[in-house]
Amino acid sequence: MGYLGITRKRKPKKSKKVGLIVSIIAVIILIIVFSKIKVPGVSNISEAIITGITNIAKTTKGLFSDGFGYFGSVKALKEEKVALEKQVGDLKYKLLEVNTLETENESLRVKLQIKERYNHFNLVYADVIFRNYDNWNDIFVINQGSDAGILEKQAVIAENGLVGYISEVSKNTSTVKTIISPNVAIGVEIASVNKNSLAKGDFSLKDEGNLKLTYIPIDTEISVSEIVYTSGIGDVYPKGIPVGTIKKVVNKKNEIDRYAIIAPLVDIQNVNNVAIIVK
Amino acid sequence: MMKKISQVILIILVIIVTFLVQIYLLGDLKLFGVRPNLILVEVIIISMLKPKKVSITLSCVIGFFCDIIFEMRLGKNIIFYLIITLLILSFNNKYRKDSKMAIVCVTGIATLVFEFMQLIMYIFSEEDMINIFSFTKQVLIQELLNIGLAYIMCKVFNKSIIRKNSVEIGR
Repeated sequence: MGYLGITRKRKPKKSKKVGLIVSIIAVIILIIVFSKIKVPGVSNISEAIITGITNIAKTTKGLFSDGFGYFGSVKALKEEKVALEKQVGDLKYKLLEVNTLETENESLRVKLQIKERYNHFNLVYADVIFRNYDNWNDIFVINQGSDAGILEKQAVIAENGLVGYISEVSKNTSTVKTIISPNVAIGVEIASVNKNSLAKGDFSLKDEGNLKLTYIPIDTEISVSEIVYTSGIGDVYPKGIPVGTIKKVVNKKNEIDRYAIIAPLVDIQNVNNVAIIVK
Repeated sequence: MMKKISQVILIILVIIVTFLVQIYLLGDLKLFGVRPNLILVEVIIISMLKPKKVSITLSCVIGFFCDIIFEMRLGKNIIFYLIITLLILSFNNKYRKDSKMAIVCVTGIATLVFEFMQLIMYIFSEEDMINIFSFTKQVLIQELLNIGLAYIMCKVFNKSIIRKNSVEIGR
């Protein structure tokens, strides 16, 4: 405010304009100068920033594309699951078939072995259906009966030797009393000495699956691991079928009382395939 | 009428299942070479829990099936199981049926009698004597196994009876 209330107009400052122009020129010069000079680290920083941004972009893009792909393929996965389940079912059925064939194959293999080993006998092959629950006798039932020509008191064998004899016969099934049943007697021959003796099922040895060799001739030396064969004495068992090996010799004061324990060559308590010697 | 028919069907089913379990499951379950006798246990439980007429009929039916399936001739098992049923029925009023001790005692005595009958049968049919220690061992193991089975079966039977009674009370 001036004197007597009269306002005095200020002149625009020329120096300001000049300053502005000078500073613009200076910035341009600086840009030109800095563009010519390489400042170490700046390029690295920018590269890092660019790479980071690119990576972020890539990742985000990937995430989005995968995410949408996942949601989009749920239906396909479900279809694939159904197809796989069907495939598993088919494979399970095939496995069952293979198992059945394996069992059948094993059964036929055993029968073939019996046939090869006892080809001089007339044989009827049979499978064990079930075993008796009775603790007094070792008995099982087979799936062949009188229709197949089986009669009572015929010998029953397996691939390794004697199993027992036919005790009962019906039209399509038969009962087999095994050699480890108490009181089942077999005329046997001790291979190394060619002497006859008697093998007999014993109540106390039944649990272990063994039988007793009695009436061993006096002055006969028998030893463990010797094989005992049927002697053919009696009507039931033909000559030459292996019965078992001598497991233990029990000597008594009186030589007549001595006996031996025989371990059958056949696993009688688990045998499944047998043959009957039909006369 | 329908209720009676369904009961008969149920009993036949139970007998069939018992035979199958005995042959295919318990056949391999041996303790020192001795198998448990589920069929005998079933006869014992029926004789303990069911009325006189039903018990006698069922023991004859079970014995009949045993003779046909295992012996291929009639007689032995029918007589044995009938004797066991009559024995249990003769002292049926002298104990509480839900008592654990009663199950143990009745099964033990019945198994002992059954094994003695088998022994007598064996001596007469085979004309042979057996080692008394082996026989004692067999009887003891058989009793142990049968008592265990009877205990399990009684629990199942008692539960079904209690459930049935509660349903009837609810009505």
